[in-house]
Amino acid sequence: MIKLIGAKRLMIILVLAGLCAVLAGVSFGLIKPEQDAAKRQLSALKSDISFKTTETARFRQEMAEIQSEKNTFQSLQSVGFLGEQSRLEARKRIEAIQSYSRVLSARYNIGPGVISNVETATEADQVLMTTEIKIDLDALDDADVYKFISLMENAFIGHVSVTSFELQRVLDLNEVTLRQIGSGIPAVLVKAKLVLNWKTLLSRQQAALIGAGTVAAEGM
Amino acid sequence: MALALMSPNRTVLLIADDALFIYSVTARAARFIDAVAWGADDFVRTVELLLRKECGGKPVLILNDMTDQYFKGGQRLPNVGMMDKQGVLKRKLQVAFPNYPIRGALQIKQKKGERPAPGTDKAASARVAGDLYLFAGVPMAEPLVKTFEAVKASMVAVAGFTLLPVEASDMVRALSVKLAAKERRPSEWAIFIGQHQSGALRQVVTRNGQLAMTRITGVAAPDGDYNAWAMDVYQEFKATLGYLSRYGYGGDDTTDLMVVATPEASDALERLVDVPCHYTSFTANEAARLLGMTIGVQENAGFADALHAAWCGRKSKFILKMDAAELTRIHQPRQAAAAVIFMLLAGTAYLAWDTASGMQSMLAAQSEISEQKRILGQVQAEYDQEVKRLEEMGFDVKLIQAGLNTFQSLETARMDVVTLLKKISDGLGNELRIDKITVNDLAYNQAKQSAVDLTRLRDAAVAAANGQELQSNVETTIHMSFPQTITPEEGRKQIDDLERRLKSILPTSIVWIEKNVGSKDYTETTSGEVGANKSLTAEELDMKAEIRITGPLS
Repeated sequence: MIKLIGAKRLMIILVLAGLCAVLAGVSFGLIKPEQDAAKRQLSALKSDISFKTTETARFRQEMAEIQSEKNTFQSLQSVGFLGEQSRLEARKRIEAIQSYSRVLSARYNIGPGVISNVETATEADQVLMTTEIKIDLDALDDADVYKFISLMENAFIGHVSVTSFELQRVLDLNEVTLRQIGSGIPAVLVKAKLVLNWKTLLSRQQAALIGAGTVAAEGM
Repeated sequence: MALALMSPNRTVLLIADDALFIYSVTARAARFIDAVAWGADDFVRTVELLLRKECGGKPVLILNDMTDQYFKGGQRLPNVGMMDKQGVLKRKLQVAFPNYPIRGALQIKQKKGERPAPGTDKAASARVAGDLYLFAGVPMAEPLVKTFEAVKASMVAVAGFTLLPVEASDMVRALSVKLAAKERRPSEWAIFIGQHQSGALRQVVTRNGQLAMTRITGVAAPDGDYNAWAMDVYQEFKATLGYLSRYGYGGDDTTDLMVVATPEASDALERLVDVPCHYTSFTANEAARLLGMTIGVQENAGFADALHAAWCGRKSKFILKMDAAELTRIHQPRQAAAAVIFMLLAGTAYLAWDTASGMQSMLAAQSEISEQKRILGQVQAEYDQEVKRLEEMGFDVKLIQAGLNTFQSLETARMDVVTLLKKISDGLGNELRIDKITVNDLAYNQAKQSAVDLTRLRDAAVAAANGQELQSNVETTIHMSFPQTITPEEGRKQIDDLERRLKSILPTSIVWIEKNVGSKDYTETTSGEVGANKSLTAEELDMKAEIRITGPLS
């Protein structure tokens, strides 16, 4: 066969085959991976630029808004929405509210804090701590109970919301009860049961330090 | 031949009776290289060197112009299927030329009248039904063996083995058409006469463009004595006409007579031609020009072999490629090698292009990466500047956003119990009082939700029809009782009125009476005692009522 096709043709075939192999090796072994890596890097850079540009624009746009929101945020800070939930402070606050609302007594039960992720706070690396507070109230007048609820919602630490409320009239206002009241003996005319959710934001680091467990994102 | 520049470069080996004439054919010229006599010492080596050195190793076309080539016309193939046709043709060829190893068959174009008409008898149909062929055969003479040996030794590619008269037939037709131009129709018969360097006078006769006859005879070159040359040629021409009469040529048929000769020889011949015909004479160069090609400067333009070499050597498709087994053995491996080389070249070219474009793309990407990095630097600087500005304000922007947004979402999801109680209180007025009220945020107290009844569904449908969006996030239950001093009817009336008032005050809520005063209850057992000192108790009188409200958080 070699005699028929000649050494020259054979050499050409071998050289061309070698050249093909080298070019294929360079193309598929070197250039293509480099090309893919360059494309990935370029894509990442473009994405980064896009993100930074958007964020910068957003910062600029939100600068004015933040100036106006500053006071609101400071209010949130002052009411203790951003921070841990001090049980001692909570007790003091409930005592003050009981006194101010004139309910005869308030028996409370503060549950353990539960940590949850919320979408709105993830970027700031904040988590939501939720504590359930159960309160049994004795009062002379249902208006005192309403006042207690109102104060809990507006003057307690952080964010408080009522999830369950029950009010029951236990005694009618008659001569007997009036006499009892007149003699200075506290007469419980109404009883109420309250279940509240107490929520504050705190950093993930704080949450880890106080050892509260993390659960799945809450729907709120 | 229109695309002269695209025509292949070849070496044409013109095999004559006494020597091998070698021509190098390019797009511009048909250059005579050398003539090597068959009896020359070291013939194979000489030709091999000429092919490799002088001709540059171009593919060779072997053009047989020897006397020993035989034709058998009018060979009709029986009507067989496409699959069998080649086999039958091969067998017929073998039968026609059993001793000639180089064979070929050319299909003859038949006129419409030569095909059997529908309705003719079967025997007649069978005779004219199959395709008509011209068979050609060449004996394996010593010159051919030597030529093949030289080609084999030279390692050049082989374009084919063809017969000069057959391959010249379309040239004769083309010349005939060109000469007729628009003035007249090309003649049915065309006779081309040309003398070769070997001295052989080749006559190619075509009828309607197809080879009808060919003759090769020895004639002395017109070495000054043009009249003698003209006389010899005329004699041969007359002899050809004599043979032609056997093939249907009549003396009055229009004929084109084309002669390649010098002007002097042509004049001498023209004076002798006495048969009616369109006589044209030209030199090889003039004939080539007429055909739209160039053959370059020729030592003697009166010889026609350079014209034949140029015409055949530039063909991309031959009329009749002869099947020579010996040549095939040399040719096929080289053809395969050429195909491999072509594929490898194509592959190399593609890979080179791919590599180059990949490199270019990569460089472009690198350049763009540099540019994007520069832009990112600027963007990052602006970003950092804005972050710094925000930090200088003393606030963590993300914390502000998180705090405000979270608080807002908590507020949105908060049950406004105080407002709800205030509205219910407004609905009750000064006359009515409640025994017990429960308010549950259903998001946290799913278990406490009461079962949906038909009344609630009806109310929901009515409210939806009024365009109000009803939400069932909070459920409130009001328990009431009336003193025995009022009648059940009065109690029911007051409860119904309360329901109406509550519906008015809470338009986005569903208000319904779960249980009215003295309502008929068919689901529970009713029991009691009456008699001395026994009267109906308040409970037995059933002066209790229950109202439920389902509505939004605030």
